[in-house]
Amino acid sequence: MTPGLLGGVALVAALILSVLGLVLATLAYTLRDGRYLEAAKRLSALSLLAAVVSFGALEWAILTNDFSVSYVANHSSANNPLWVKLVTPWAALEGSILLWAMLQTAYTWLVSLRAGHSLDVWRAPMALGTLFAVQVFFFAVMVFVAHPFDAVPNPPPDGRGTNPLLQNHWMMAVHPVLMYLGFVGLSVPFAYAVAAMVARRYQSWIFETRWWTLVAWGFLTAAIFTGKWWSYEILGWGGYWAWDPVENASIIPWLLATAFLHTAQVQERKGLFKGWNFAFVTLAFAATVFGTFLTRSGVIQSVHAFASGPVGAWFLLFLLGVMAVGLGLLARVSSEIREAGEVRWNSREGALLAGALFFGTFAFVVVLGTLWPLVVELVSGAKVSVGAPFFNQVSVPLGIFMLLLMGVGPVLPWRNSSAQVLRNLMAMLIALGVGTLLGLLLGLSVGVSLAIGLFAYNLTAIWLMVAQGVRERARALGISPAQALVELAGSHKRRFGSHIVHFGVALAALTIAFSQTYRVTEQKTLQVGEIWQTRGLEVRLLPLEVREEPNRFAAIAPIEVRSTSREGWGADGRYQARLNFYPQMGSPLATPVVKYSLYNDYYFVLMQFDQEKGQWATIKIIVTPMVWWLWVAGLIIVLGTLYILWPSGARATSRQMSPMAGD
Amino acid sequence: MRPWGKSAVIGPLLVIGCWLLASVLAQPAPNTPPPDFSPRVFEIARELRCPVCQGESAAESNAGIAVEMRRIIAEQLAQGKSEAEIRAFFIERYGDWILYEPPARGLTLWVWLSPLLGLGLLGFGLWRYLVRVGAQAKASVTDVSDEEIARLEAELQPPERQP
Repeated sequence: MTPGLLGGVALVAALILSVLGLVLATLAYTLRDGRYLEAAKRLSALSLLAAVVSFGALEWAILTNDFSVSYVANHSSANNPLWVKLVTPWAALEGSILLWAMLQTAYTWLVSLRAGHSLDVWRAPMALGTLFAVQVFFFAVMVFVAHPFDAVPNPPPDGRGTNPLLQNHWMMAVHPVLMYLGFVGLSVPFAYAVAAMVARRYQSWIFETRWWTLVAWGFLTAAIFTGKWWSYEILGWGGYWAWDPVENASIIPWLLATAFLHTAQVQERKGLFKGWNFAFVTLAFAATVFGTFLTRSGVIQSVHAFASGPVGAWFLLFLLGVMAVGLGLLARVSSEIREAGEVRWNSREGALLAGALFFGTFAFVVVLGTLWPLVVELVSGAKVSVGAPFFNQVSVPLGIFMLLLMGVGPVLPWRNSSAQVLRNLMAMLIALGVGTLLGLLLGLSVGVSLAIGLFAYNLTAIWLMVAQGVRERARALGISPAQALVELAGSHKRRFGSHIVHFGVALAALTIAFSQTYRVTEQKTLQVGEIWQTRGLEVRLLPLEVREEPNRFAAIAPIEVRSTSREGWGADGRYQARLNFYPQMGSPLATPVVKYSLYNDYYFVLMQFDQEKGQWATIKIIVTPMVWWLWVAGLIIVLGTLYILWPSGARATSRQMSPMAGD
Repeated sequence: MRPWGKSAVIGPLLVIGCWLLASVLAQPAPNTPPPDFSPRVFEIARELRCPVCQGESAAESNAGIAVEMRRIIAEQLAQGKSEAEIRAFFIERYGDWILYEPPARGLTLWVWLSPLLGLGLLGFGLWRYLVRVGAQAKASVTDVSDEEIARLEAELQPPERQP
């Protein structure tokens, strides 16, 4: 038994099991027979097993350098260090799809465990059926067009090696996995929604998917932040977000999932917005497929590159299928649902809906901006670019409104406003004004000053909310404020967790404003021993070195950095800026030196060096304020999500539905 | 999905300025030090596309052509040209495609209008929905259609053989 054979057989088995699961789940629904459902549940465990075996076979082939397996021959090398070999399965297309499919089977299995408990037995067959259908797609793609285990007739002595960009940072071991966990996670609320629409029970699914959506959202958020971090530390351009199609592909589902997280609360509370929630959840899941189609089909480079691989076409078909199912069912729902209720704009639900409006608009803008070059090329044959300068300008006003709503939403009560609320709003607006003025007085730009104001405004909102709750509880129960805070944090986890997340978002917005506005890039060629004085730094070039490593060769420019004024504070040290040469790449990769401090980040990149005598080197310096805090903000957001999800003994589920909500 | 976002030189180019193309093919001689660049050079280059890269601006890319573009920008700045003149120089050779910020005219005007378009469409839909729901709330809730009664009856039947 060779790994290639084992992997291939396991893939076919997983495909057959997924088809069978789909058939059984459909039978369970149409015949209303629980025995079929039980069988489908068992099949989900079997298909997980088959996927794990297949994935294990791929790892086995990579670790044993079995170059008779196409994926290993194309994307691995015998000289790779062990950790690179371990992450090689997701270094290229076929392995990524296998990882994706394996995670999908894991989620399906987890959902099958819920059937009959938190997933009601009426809707379980359709939910499982939907997830099996998604599995069928992924395994079919691998079996028919992107087969990782194709046999290589004459195995080469060594493979072509792994993409060097992935060998540079341990984050690459984590980031893709988090991304797929998020993408796949969104298939679960989608499946519940489809089941709800088929079974015509429009309300209770919203409670059941609350945790699933939050889990997927947490993974997506973590994936986006780790991706930013990787981009910042590896690509050597001094930024963390370039608005390229790959990044846009990840932010679109995130925006739609965020919108859904907020509008779901309106449905939970008031039984309103059912149709919109079905639409949001369908679009969020479709966006994950859309992103993959975008990045894998080559359409983005040019309309004519579409034929380069069949995988893109498959994903496009799948995307159309998802949209057709979700929106087709939605058409029926919208004619059936009769909702009734009053929504005032100056209430919590009004703010939630307004927030969703902006998230939806933002997603729309990103989709349109990403696709527009294609549209223009198709319509007029002309080529245009829509890039970072456009997206940055557009996201500023949208971001300002979102931050304003983020502060005001939790402060507003669910139904009517009171005098207390008006006092809170006044305090927040004062914070906004004071913060902005402070920025202007410090001589900062208008945008950055406003960002400071908005940060103060959101901080005030959170403080007021927490303080008010603590005060009331302490007074009512006659306990100390500290004790009241601990009790509240335990009993209102969702509330407190969302405060933590919102704080993280406000901090992230502040750091983005600072770093985007005040990033400075300079480049200079230095002779060995020469000192470059700039931005409050003294940079001295030391003699160059060359180093031979197992899978690469590196040129190293050691530099000694001293700070001479406050502007360069925290940059002191000796660093090694490197250029890595990989045998499988034409041009060298520059690995930047990144030195974080509490205010500025210093970034040193070796651009070029004297290859003959080693007498000079060209160094690029990028100074950016506050990027370190962006990673802190990302961590806070993820921790806040974890805090909400963390299981606790007595979870206070307040299912306060109006009598109108119904199921 | 974070595949090969920022490297990969992709082919065929519709380059009008042949001399620029030549500079790609002949990578700059490895042993002449590149000129020094002030922050302004990078600011201008960030708005321009690297013609042979995927999703990288001329400020970030290390492809030969981007290096050359930065050199040209630095040269023209030294000659005292304004940012607009430098941009015009590149547009003349590559067309509007070189600009990462699409001009707000013709077909690309729509992209600039997209935030308003999105807000308008979604806002209108939301407003219509809220009006409808509000009207429902005021209407009586007693009129239930026969079809709905039948459906409720069907749903109240216990499922056969619960697992």
